[in-house]
Amino acid sequence: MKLFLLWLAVHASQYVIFLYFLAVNTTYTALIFLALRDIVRHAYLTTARVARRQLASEHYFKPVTVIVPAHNEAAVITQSVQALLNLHYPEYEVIVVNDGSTDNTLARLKEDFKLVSSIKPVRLQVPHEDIQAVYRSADYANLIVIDKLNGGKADAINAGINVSSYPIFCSIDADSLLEPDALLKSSKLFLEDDELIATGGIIRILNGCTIKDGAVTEIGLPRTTLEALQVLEYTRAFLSGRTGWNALKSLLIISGAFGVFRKDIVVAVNGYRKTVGEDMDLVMRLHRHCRDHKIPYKILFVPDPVCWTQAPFKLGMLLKQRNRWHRGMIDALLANKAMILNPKYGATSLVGISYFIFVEFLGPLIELFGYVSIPILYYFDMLNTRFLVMLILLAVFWGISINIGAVFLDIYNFRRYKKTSDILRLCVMSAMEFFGYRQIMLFERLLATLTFRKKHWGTQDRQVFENKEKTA
Amino acid sequence: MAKILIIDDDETIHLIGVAYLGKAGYEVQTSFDGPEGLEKAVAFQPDLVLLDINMPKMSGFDVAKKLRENEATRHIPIFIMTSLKQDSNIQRGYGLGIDDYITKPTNMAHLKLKIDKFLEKHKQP
Amino acid sequence: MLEFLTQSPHFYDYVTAGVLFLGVFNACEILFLLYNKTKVERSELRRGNLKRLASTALITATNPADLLPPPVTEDEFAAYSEAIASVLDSFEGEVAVKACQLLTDLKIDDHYRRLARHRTWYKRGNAIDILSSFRLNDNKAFFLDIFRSEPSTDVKYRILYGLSRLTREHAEIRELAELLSTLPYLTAKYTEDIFFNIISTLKAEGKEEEFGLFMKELLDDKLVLNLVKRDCITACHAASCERGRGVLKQYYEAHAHEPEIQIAAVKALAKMGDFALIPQALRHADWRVRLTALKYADLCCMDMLPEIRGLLRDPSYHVRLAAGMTMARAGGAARAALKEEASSQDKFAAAAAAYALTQGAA
Repeated sequence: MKLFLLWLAVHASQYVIFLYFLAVNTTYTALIFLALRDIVRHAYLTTARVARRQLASEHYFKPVTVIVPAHNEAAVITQSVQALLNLHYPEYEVIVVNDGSTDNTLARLKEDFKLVSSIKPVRLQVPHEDIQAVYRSADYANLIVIDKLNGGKADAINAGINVSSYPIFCSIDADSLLEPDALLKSSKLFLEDDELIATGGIIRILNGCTIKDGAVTEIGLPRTTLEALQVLEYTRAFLSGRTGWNALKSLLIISGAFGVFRKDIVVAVNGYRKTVGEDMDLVMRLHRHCRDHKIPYKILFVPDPVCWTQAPFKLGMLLKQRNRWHRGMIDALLANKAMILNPKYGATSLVGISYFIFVEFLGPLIELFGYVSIPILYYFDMLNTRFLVMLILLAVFWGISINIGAVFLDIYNFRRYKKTSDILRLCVMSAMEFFGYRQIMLFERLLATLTFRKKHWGTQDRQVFENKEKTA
Repeated sequence: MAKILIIDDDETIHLIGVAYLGKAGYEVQTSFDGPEGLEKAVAFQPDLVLLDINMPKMSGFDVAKKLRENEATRHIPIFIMTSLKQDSNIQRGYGLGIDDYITKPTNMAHLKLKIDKFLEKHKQP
Repeated sequence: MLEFLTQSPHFYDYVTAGVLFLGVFNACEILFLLYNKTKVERSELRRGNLKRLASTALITATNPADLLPPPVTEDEFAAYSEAIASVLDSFEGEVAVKACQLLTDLKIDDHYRRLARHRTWYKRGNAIDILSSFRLNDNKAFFLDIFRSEPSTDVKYRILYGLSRLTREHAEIRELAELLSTLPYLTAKYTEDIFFNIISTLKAEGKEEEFGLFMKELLDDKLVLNLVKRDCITACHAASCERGRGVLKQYYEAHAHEPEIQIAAVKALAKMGDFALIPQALRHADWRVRLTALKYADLCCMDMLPEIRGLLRDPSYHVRLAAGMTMARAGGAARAALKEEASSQDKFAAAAAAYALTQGAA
């Protein structure tokens, strides 16, 4: 009997694997086409001159609060804050939230920015751990530092929200490097559309680029293959993935590294929830809230504003990061169970969330089934080798074409990587991804699924990005 | 021969400026953005800087401020040439120590006369 | 199960064909990528050169059209129009006249007029944007014409924007405002921008009073949305349009139930140095109006100190803070009162007062 069930399971899994493979690749191909259409339209309507004229009106802007949660960031914090204070924006404030750091983050800030105590009354609109003190800088009128008890990133941003004075806030990571006009480009969207409640820009990888005075001056691919593969991944995920989801009103993640939100709506959903995947969770709750209350809304990804971030350069760090992301996603899905396959939430639920469940969540399990069933089928002499080989070839080639498609979208619209050698290297990466990298990521995601209970923010070694010349 | 430095991110301004003022007998150099402009100002030591406000990387106001802060360029007169007409901008400009605020669109012929007159007055040692 | 698929005779042929196709497709994709990159770089170079040629010709030649090759490809048209638009944006006088002449000589204007009737909406939109940047008076009638026959609202917004740079008389401004109100309200920035453009154009020609006349007529115009009226007032504020001043007080009085219009009126008048509305605004039912009034109260109405002090106990957080800041800025008796309040029983008032005192300190 057991044998029969096993046989059944293995056969069924073949079907499932085949269908899963078709579903994923078709989705990604569709996303690329949607993204292409979007990008072409974007190129026609926002010529350089129009953009310049729009940016020119200094009178028309909404003041923004930039919230930077910081936990044990003593090495990079001064640089990051200095870069933020140099943004091109008429009126904004920077709030650094020291989330119970155990190193001398706060001391560095106090010394470098001449902090003095501030007694401005704080409105407790969203929950978080106790604030112990609020400071403002004597040198920079728009820099505020909050010292609070440790509570995690979500908690820290909530504290920032409570102390902020402006109607829009931008949440970024302590090691993100915003382009000088990123804030301008993303906040002007709120001016142009009253329904917009949240937007995210594109995250690009800093490794391999030259920085001078807190701005990226030369863009290049990072040295190691591991980092270059991540560049490819980000390009695919952001340019094709996110842009495509826009069209279907199913954007479910706005990266914690750079997101801009309208404060009133975020307060209405009670701020960020204390969880690992706080960025995805917030966006899902925003969708839910607006649909429940029939508020016309938009959550958009725009490829214009750019935020640079450091990608992990060691495999161990990368795995920890992906583990955290995966756990965060599962947590967000579980917490918003009501949205799964619920026609009440329209395309967001039926398309967006279904994609996450079937592809991102069940995906690793199905792929595992696939790999495991090979030796089993072989043992039972049921392995159809020809089919297997063809399927693998098909999958790999299709995947490569999607990757190159994503690279093409990037080059076509933004032309960041100018060297032909860089472009060719990206194409090679497109193929290399399938031989090792994918499998390692798969394994890590499986691990994350199985050890879901553990909740921990995790740390990352920092490369201090001083004014360094490009190495090699 | 008097020297003029034009700092503006629009290449057309450079071309027209160079062609017109060059034809009128000035030695004209141009720069596309703030940081480059500041370097050129120190090296070229112009008798006048024509400065735009809306530029990527560094706004014209910041450039003006830095020019006034730097010993080597403090004495150089600055004309701001911009399409921004708001009161607040004009006040800010003069607050930073510029010598004239010219709004675009400008008449090149009149501008040249203005520059001629201004430099004549300022040439007195 | 899957055997049914795998045993069908043509299945493997299809899959093999699929694999081969994808393999070839990938190779082509890479080649296309590189080809596209070089093509774009080359076209950028060409564009730059053409722009430079055009700009130099405008200065050195009496008849630039003689020196310049007539545009044929879309890229060439774009290059010329960018150069000419730049010139028109930044210069007036002889060089601008020559630039306008060039538009007609090289038939660039015609080209974009034709493009404005293209099938695809964003190409129409793009053409309209470019035509707007030329600011040719002849296009006024053209814009009004295509507005009527244009199906897409996105393009209609752009047409109105283009018109806003050509409008010169109060009757025309009114027509524009009414056309604007037939479309769904876009955003405050867009509408303000339109009226700001109009005021700027009028100022440049010394015809600012046309806007004053328009504002008078707008007051009672039922065909114009209230939000649009509010944006007209904020445009007055931004552009410091003095001629609108007289009628702004009437706007405040006439719109007792539109706090946004009232706020705009208070701000615009205050910027021009007219604080007549502040006392009533301080007593307004809507907290935002009170807040706006407090921003200017220290410049005119400190004789109302007891009332401002009372606002330290206002139900709105923003109003309480603003009241404190106003008293701190005013100094003298107001600061003394603030010091008293810092130790009052009402903890909200005390907090606001204490904070305000730290801000006013030199």
